[in-house]
Amino acid sequence: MQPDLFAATPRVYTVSEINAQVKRLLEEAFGEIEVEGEISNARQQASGHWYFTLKDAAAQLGCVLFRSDAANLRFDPEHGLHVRARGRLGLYAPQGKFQMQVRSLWPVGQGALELAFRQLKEKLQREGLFDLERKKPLPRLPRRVALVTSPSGAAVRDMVATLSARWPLLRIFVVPVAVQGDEAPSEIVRALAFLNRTAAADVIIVGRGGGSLEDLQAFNHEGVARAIASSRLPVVAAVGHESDTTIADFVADVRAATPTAAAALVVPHRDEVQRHLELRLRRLALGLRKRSEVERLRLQRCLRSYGLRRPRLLLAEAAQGLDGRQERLQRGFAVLLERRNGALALVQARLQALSPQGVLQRGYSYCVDADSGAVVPRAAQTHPQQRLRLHFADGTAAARVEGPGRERT
Amino acid sequence: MSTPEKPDFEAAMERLERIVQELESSQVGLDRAIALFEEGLELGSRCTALLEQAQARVEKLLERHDGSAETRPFEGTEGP
Repeated sequence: MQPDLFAATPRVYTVSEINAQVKRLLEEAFGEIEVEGEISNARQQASGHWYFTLKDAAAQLGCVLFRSDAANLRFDPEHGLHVRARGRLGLYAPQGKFQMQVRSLWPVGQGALELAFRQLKEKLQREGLFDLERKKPLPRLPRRVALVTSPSGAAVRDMVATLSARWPLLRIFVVPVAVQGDEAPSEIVRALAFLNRTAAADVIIVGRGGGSLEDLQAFNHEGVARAIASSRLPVVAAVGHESDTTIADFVADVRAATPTAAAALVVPHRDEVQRHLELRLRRLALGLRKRSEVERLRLQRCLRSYGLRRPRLLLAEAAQGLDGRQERLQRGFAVLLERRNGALALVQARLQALSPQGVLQRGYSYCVDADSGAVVPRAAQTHPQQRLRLHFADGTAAARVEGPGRERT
Repeated sequence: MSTPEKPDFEAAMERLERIVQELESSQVGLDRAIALFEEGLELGSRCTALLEQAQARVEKLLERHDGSAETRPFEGTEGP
């Protein structure tokens, strides 16, 4: 049915008829077109369809972008954005409104990926996914590290090499995933869910080596970002090079500049731990030494107590007690020395260097209160005019405190 | 999935720290001090031995169809 504009008597249409006619005219007359303008009033319905207006200084055009097309959109149509839209003109008959059905949309003046990156970053930031309070601490000494990355390439090789060199008491799990391409986001999300469900690792490193912005897209994917953010196991993001920043970096508990740096972050170096161990063994030796010194001084005090009624008997008992204690001490050290040829040789050498006599020989001294006989280990425990006795390797000397004791700050 | 070492390194280090702290407190008697000292030395040598003998294990961890975990050997870098 064609409109007959030149008929003498105007033809009467129903509203539906005229709208259907106009709709067809619009669709046929223009075909696929591109329109450039600024987005305003953009809103996404629960149905997934987007509605917005394209406008310039003088006019505006209503637009709809259906859910199936919106799925291909890299960014959200947001107010003020300058875009080019491709699609067809049509008429929304229920409202008699002329509109453009947009199939695809590109930002003008900036890349779609950059725009998508900024939008997702702002969105997740608003949701609080980057908040520091969300960040989980990394385990001090993890036993199992999972590497969610490509099983080929330099990144996994670098991480395995760095992890094994630093910390030998480690199980390293490579969880192979695609790190670029269409499959990458879902594979990464799945791997993170799998690791969390099975609790197969103490810490996760997710990442890949460097690449173009396009190559790193999986780590700017919203699903991947949310999977990292919701991981109960701590996640270290290690994407690309120093200069590459992805959304994954913001949501991860720790961001590492490179995969190698991530590996160095999650485990301590064996030498570092060895130093901690040695420090503890040193304190162990000093603790025992100090303990026996306290016993000796207590005994001395007893021997000096003139007021006791049976000093001779007391002396005998005390001497016996001292013998017993010395014997036990010697037994303790004898056991220690017997192990000289074993794995302890190194430790023993260090312990020996720490024996009080050795320490005194190296020029150190310690002091006791001349009156009470108690060891004075801290400056804060001295007072002016206090009489002290200094113990050197070869003997003792009397001393007096000249000024107030002061602690080092 | 079992953990890599039976006498767990971290547990030994923690025990050692507790021993040192107890020994450093003035409350402990001499007998106890000697016992602690010996236990501490034992833990120390065990930790050292663990560090010296251990070697990191690298495996591939895969998800089975039923969702459970499966490990396979990981022979260095794979693929192209």
